[in-house]
Amino acid sequence: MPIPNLMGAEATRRLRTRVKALLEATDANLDGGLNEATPLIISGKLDSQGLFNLALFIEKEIGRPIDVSAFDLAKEWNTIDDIVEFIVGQRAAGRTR
Amino acid sequence: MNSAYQVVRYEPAHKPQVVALQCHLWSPSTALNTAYLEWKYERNPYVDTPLIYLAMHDGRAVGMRGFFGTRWQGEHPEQQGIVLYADDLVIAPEHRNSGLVPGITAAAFEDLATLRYQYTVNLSPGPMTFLSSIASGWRSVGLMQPMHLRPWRVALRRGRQRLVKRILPQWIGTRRRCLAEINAGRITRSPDSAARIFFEDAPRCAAMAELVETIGGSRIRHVRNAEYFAWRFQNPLSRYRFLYWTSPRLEGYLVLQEYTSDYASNDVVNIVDWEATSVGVQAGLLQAAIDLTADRSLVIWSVSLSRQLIALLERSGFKVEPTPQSVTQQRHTLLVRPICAAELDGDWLFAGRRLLDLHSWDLRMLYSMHG
Repeated sequence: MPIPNLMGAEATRRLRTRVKALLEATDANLDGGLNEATPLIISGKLDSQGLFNLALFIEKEIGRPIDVSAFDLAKEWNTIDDIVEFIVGQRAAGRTR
Repeated sequence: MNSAYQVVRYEPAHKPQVVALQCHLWSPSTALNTAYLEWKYERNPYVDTPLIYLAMHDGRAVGMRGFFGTRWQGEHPEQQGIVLYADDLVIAPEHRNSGLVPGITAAAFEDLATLRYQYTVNLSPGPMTFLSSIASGWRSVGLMQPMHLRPWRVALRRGRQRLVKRILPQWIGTRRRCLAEINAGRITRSPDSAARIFFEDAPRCAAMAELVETIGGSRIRHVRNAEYFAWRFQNPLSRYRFLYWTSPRLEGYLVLQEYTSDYASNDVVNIVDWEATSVGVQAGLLQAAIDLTADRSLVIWSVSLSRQLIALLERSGFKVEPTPQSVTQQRHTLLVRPICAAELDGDWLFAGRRLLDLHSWDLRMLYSMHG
């Protein structure tokens, strides 16, 4: 079942832009050619520092710590679209707790 | 990782470069780093050739990941196998954010797949290594549940340090006695333990191995024979001292460890191994360890201890460290991964036990590079 997006299209678009800016700013390996569907993790493009910064960003966005061993990080954070969907899903899950 | 970098397997000619590169991780001393490299990789009892992978840039080593040999066993002595322990991940500061970590890791696993080893473990990942490992197929088996005893002297010293840190840093550094300076006179001896407890500098490798064999076990654990002990306690980044309980044969031992690198905390003493024929003997050894380290924080991994021993630690004032919350926090965990990518989706087994089940393991800090 798809995760309901309670954020709205504009908020999601802004989140996508922020994720992209973060990745471009923190990981030199991603310079150029980065789009919403670029594989980041399974391709090895995202370095450990970039991944670390991304994890911090996601924790901040969803407002709580994440247990990265509880899901398949390589799949759920593999592209910008995946990351946005993960954040949206975690926010929604947080609201229903 | 761009084409300016090349990943190569370590050769002896790389040694000076590796030693210099590890000044970013192991210690600022090239002499200490040389000793550590030689001990861990060149004199490793399980793997003859150092399995170290280096990212080279303009002929210079700028990134490294090592895999050193460890030997684990199941319930029966014949259920043994060599497992590679992934460690020592470091990237020169000016080459970070260049895709070197995934690049080295991918090249290393590709090369290791041509050798005869099946699994890799890591019991000492830092936060960043933990995260990048999870992203590259490693799985976290569980937390080691460290317990610590922080005596009032340590709490007092920390408060004092905050006050005078900028004024008298050298004075602070000399207040704490290192393990080598502690003598057995600090042990409060009961009539029962008076003639039985010994505090020594050297491991009694053969007697310790015999005791371990007598006690046995059914879970996955590192092989602790005399050869292992003799090698393990030569780790130059650690200093060890040994408590023994004899009557007259060895009935128990407890190993204390502290770090020798300037990068590591010199506040902490770890109990890296603790073995005995009875809980009574273990209690006597623990009390002696507490007496000896009254001005230090004492830490032990409790994940594989019995309820009886955990209760004993709690009665002695040990507390379980809180579970790490953020990804930025140090996580004492066991990471496992099959070497061949084709096995990533399978059932990971060793000696008939599931590797991803924490209950399959008997884990001690001695098996990790924390100890």
